[in-house]
Amino acid sequence: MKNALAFLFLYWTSIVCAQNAAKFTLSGTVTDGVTGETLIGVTVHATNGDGVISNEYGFYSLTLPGGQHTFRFTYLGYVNATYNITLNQNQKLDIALFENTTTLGEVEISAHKSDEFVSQPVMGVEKINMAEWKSLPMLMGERDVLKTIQLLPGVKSAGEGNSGFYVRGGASDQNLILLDEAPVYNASHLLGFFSTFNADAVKDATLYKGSMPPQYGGRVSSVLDIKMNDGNNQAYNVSGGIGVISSKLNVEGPLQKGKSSFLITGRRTYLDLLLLASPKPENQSNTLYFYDLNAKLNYQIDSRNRLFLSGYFGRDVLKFGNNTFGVDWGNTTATMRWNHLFSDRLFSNTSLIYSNYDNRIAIKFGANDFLISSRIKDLNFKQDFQWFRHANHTVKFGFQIIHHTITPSSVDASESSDLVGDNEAQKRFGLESAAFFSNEWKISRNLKILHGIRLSDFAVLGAGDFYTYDTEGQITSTTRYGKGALVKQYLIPEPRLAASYQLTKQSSFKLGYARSSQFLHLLSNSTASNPTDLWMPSTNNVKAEIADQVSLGWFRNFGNEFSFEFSMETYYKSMQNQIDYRNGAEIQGSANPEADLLYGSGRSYGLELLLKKKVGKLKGWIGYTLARTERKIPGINNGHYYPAKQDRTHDLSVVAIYQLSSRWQLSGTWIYYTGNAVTFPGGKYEVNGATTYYYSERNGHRMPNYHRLDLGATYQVQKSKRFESEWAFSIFNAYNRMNAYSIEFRDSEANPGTTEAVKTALFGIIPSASWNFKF
Amino acid sequence: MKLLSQYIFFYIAPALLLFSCNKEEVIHLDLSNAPAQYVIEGCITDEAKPYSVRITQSVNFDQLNDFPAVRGALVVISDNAGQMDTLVEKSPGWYETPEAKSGVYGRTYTLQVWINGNLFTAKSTMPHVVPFDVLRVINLPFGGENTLVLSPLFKDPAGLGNNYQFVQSNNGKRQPYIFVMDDRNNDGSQVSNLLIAPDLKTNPGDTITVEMRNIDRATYKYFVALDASNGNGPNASVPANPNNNFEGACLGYFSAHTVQRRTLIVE
Repeated sequence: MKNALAFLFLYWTSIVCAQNAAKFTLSGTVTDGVTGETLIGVTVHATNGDGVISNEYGFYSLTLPGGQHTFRFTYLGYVNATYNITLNQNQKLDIALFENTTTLGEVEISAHKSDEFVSQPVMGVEKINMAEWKSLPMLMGERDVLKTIQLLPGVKSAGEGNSGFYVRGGASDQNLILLDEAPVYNASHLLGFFSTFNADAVKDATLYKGSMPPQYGGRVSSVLDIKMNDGNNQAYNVSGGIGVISSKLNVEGPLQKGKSSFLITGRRTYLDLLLLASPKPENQSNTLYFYDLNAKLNYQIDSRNRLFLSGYFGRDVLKFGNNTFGVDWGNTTATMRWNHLFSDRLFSNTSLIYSNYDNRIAIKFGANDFLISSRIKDLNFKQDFQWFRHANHTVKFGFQIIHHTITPSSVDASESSDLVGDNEAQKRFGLESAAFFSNEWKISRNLKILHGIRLSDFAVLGAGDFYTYDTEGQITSTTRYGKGALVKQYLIPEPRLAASYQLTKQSSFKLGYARSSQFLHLLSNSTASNPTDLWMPSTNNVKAEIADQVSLGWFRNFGNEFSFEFSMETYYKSMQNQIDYRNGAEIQGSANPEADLLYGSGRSYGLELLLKKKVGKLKGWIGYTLARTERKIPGINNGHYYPAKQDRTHDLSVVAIYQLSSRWQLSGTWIYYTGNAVTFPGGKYEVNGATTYYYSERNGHRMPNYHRLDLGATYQVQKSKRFESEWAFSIFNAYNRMNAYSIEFRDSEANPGTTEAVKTALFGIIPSASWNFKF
Repeated sequence: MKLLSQYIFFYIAPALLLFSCNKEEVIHLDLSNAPAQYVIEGCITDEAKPYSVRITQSVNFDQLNDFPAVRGALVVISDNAGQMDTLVEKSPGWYETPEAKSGVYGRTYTLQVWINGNLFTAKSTMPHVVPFDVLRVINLPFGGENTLVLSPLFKDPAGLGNNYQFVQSNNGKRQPYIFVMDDRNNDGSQVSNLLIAPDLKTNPGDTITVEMRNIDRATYKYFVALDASNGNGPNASVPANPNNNFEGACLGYFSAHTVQRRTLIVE
């Protein structure tokens, strides 16, 4: 104990007062020289070997002994910048980097690719630069950040054409998806075929699938942190695209040149216009579309203060039969952020976030007119500090408080309705709070660790009735709580650790451990993602989900100027308090869904290989995953481990982009994976006058293996300072493979007295084209 | 309410498929063959007719829908008023009491079945009858097409614990739909349930009968699970065998329930 305290003291002093020689700080913001957009993840290297990476607001700070230094700023795809500086006082240096526009890339920019890949301690991180991968072929030609990350090892698509994803055996509700720090509850449009993120407005997306850093929490599987463009602060520009099913427009420009800017971007699909052309007259009265609107404003108050306002509004609308039946759903988020520099080394960000997801089903027939709605609303306050204490210690700490209001499906009927009555479901309230601390510590030239802790707390609050249940799911007691009363509290300390040991200049070993917890759960016992799926907070019965993950990896750069990256990662994840459903559970429209839940544990483990080429005429990657994901839930499969739905043994993806000429760029993706684990009948019998199937084991069968090739090409029509335009062509499912979307069992009509298995395929070959412009 | 929300995606899914090719194909799958299971279906009603129990076995998926009758079983039904009846095999696999008997409200019945030395036991309590007031028919213009929806009206008695089943027949032909509901969302109120069966085809002049049954909780849960587990399509839950009220591993159910019928003719 004494030793431990002594160590803590030494450790703390090493962070706080390791300052014997005179040291000075170089700090500033890195931006794109043309658009003024801040650049995230720029490597700043000093000649003495110290370095730092610009943060999510483009800010960097490096504290070094006084004297002559050479600083090099490198960012993939940008021309390097080098500065010779004599540090004899704290100095501010804002840097503008310029994109390498000579696509054939003989210029000096390539000088050095960052070795961040090998040296940074956190592993299981994937950064997606949408601009870099924008020419990948996609369904209906819609660029999509969620579908791009599905091509990475360890990330699996939730289904054909679906933007939902599973990370390392987690469920799709276990991914924290942040849009400018605001959590997005339903990241998909049109039942999952498209994501809510308009790829044109996305600056940077980072996926943490392994040891997530302590500043993130609230979901047990992964974090996808999406940052939107801030808007060009140098010049006005308008860009857009016209595609097969949607069009989009983006307007941005300076409010004060070089300092402040705005951005508005919108997208709308027009499937309903296609319906107008349908030969069936009844289809013409149907409506089916979605739209997205992103707006952003950033204002530089002075050199130490910057304010960001951003908002997202998106909605799906479906209407049938002259408005007799309609569904609409969507997310709204609003974020206000304030960057403040307390000193050259202490960066602060304060965020105030509003987030809302709701869905409504409106039904009208005869005198009946009613609305079924549900909603989840968050108010979120977040304070983060980044303290660039000195070159060997970067400390992050902060706290967050989120107030959740969850309204499960409630019915609002008009007075004339005689079929349906009002049914106000109980609202649920929760206060989720967290405090975190982390330190990235360069112990030696070869050894770096990032360690820290997150303390997560969830308070289940009244007003409301809370129940206890017997093993059959019958209510045994009811307790009524008043407004704001504490029903139940969960406090979970989550240690996080990541370490890298650099073996040579080109290779390193990394190790990670993270515990994470989750207090909001998506209840869905169906196979497809429905907009009416219900979010539910932890209660006295629904415990906090907890996951522990250890991972180990080997990373290597090779080839000319490190043009290839290779990584091999293994992981083991154990999950507690996972939720499943009683046989035949009624989740939808149930006033009391808790009664049908079962709780158990899960585990998943796997190996991920990734070979990536990020520079040159040919870019792309090959990713392979070997994995297993299992659940163990009392009452299911006799209490034995069984494969989870998303268990896929093999998963392979090949992604390539080739710059054919200065005008033509070609791209292709090929994916192959083992079919999902499913439950198929082991026999059949007759009951209640109908053929009924007998199931012997949960998820004991496999869907057929899935594979698909997509091809794409872009042709630059014109490129000048004033006007740019391009054609983008894509072919989805190029060899027209009829992949199984579902397999159903039924009595055969062709051969009465027998049963048959019927496969449904969703998409065959789909070509599409779009025209994009910018001026 | 549940029924309605369940069918919502029945309508959304086809809309999305308008722009996909949505191709169906019969395929062959190598399915594992589970050992044959006994299937016991037993009913007692408040109508004056014999208690009846049917016993069959399951077959492999690839076999014909020819479910072997289980012969020579010993089938006994007793109640908590001290009565006991041994059922006789009227035809292969069909067991009945020799004379007609009406079930009594509130009485608990026990079914015991011995097959080759294995005992299967289930209990069911006949609920009190809730009057079936009216059967209405409503045109619901779902998806641009008029769908005929039957709507039974009744007043749920105050106090939780009433469970209902509706069985629909068209010109005397029993329809395969499973409709069950309980009173958790409308306890003590006037209920107009909607029996939504989108693929039900009717013609003017058809005689439609709806049988309303008061069932016990175990039977209710059995049918909810049976419906969900065999449902196909995007809204179906993970397939599983419905839990039943039998002790001893077998399939099927044993239900003591009331029967009331209302009939209408399609205009």
